[in-house]
Amino acid sequence: MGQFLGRRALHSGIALIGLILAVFFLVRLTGDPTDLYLPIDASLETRKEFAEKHGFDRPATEQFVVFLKDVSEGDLGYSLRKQRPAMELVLEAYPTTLALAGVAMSLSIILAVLVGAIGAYRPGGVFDRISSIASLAGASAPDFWVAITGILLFAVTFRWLPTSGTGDWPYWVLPIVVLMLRPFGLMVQVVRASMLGALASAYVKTARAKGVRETSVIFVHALRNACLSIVTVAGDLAVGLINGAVIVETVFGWPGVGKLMIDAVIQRDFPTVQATIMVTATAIFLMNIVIDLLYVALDPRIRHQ
Amino acid sequence: MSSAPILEVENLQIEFRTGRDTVHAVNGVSFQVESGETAAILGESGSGKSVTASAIMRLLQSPPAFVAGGSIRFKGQDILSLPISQWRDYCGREIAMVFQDALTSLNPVFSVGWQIAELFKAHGIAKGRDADNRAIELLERVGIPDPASRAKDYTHQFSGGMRQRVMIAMAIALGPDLLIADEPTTALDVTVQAQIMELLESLRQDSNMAMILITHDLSVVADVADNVAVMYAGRVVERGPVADVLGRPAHAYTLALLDSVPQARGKGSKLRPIVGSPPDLARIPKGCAFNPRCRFASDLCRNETPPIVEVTPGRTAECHHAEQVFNDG
Ligand SMILES: Nc1ncnc2c1ncn2[C@@H]1O[C@H](COP(=O)(O)OP(=O)(O)OP(=O)(O)O)[C@@H](O)[C@H]1O
Ligand SMILES: [Mg+2]
Repeated sequence: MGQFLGRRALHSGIALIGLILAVFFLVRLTGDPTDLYLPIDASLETRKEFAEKHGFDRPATEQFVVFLKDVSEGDLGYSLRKQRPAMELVLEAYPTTLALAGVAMSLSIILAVLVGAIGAYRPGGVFDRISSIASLAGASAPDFWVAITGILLFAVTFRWLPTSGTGDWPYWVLPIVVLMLRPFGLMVQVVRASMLGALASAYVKTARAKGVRETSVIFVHALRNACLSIVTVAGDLAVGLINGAVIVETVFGWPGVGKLMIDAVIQRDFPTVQATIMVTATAIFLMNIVIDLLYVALDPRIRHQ
Repeated sequence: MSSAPILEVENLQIEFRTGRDTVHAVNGVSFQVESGETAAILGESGSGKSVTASAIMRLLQSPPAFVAGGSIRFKGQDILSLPISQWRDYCGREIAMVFQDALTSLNPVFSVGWQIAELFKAHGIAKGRDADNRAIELLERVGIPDPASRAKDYTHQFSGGMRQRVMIAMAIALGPDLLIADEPTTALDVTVQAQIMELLESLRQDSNMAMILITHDLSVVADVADNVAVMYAGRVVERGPVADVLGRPAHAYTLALLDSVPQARGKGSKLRPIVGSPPDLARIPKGCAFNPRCRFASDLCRNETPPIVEVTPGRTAECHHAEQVFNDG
């Protein structure tokens, strides 16, 4: 187990270094930030000073060495835009994103398990057919389109919900619904498929022969087995949710990490881009570890290998 | 054998409606089980033994399975007309089942102790530690060494024989009056088979429980059963006390079955495998279903459904040539 986690950490470490390399050099291909941060008529002197202060005058490889040295000391640089440590900005934005993604993911899982399990209980029934079509539509609807349509319909036309920003619950409705579409839609299908298998299994027959109540048969005996494939997919979807958050946060002006990242890219705020990506990659790595551990906890056959 | 039978199956018909075809898996099965007796159901693969057992436990998935006719009475109660939730209260408590393949029939993600304890919880008999302790007692009773620590183990950590013991522990947990054992030993090594049969038989005797033993194995039937029902193509073709039926069959199929097994009929008799294969249950032959494979078959057999013949008191056979088979078989 420890060995497995060690190998996993090593692989992720290598991937993280590759990612940092790519990001570091790619953002520098987007152009010179000096043009964006100084007035057009700034003197050559001022420009030189700005470039020197942030190290942009040196070759990119040399900048990278300095960057690595700083990172090893826990310093991810200063945001060009906000004149504050980039890490601070990222850590400030993260709770908002995590709250949004966490609520969206939890709701998706709970609803998908209910809908998928009930659909699988009577395959081909009315509920199953409706939920299959709805989940397929949810999984394949483009989220930016749904987001904009949602805003136009519920915020502009009906004025039931605010258009953007954050605050109490009305602000959460649209972003969460849009963010849920894909994970919910895909998970209903996974839950349904694995519950179909589980409900047809011999151990479910045994449970019924023991006189176990039907709700227990479905939600204890069958679901506990179906969980194994649900967890795998839920893990992948949770990672994908970070991508979804970028779109949703941008469209809804949600002050999270996705918006921070997009703004930083647009404004060539290199240190902030690097910090968001490093923190996000680390978060994804940690999440994968949690999923592995969960998987081991759920399946005794793996646990005893 | 004085009181009413614990189980009466009458003219039971089960069909599977799949696509265009209707598979007639059970075509009018009738038999009874007296309390405390062991009744064997014998028959080739596909003859409808498991479907009959599942129908009694009401475990058939509908669709595709439909009860097309007949009745099942358990302790005088017509069970097919009971709401399913009410019938589930009987399951495990008064009637229980041991399945053929314990590996797939036990839940892989729960400890065996939990799975046994669940019976007490589901029926509101015991909970928590009490239920766990009763599960451990049961594991001990079915001969599992070190039961307290084994209760925490999972199915994949047990050998085939030990797994079947766990299944048996679950089945007898609440002291049912009728146990259905569907080929409880086919998945096991020969040496283990004997141990499991011995265990089942001793548990049965201890609690005076009735048992329906479904099997291919003639020697097991001869050893433990009181009565036997021989099934072919979804019908009970011959019924009666074991010694009589196996000693002197009255149905051509029973005779063929005995002739196809070494030593079933004593030394010197020749081995004669049954030619052909069982009929397609979507297209059962006219007349007697066994006629295409039968060495006694006549025109009568090919055209008319055989009547139920009472060979001797308490013994029946559905064969046009019952007398001939009985006398010179
Ligand atoms: N779900 C199903 N759908 C269609 N046909 C089925 C289904 N289940 C069983 N059958 C059919 O019912 C017939 C009887 O099956 P059953 O399992 O009762 O046989 P069996 O006598 O128990 O055989 P075995 O000794 O191999 O266990 C088989 O021919 C099978 O094709
Ligand atoms: Mg069978």
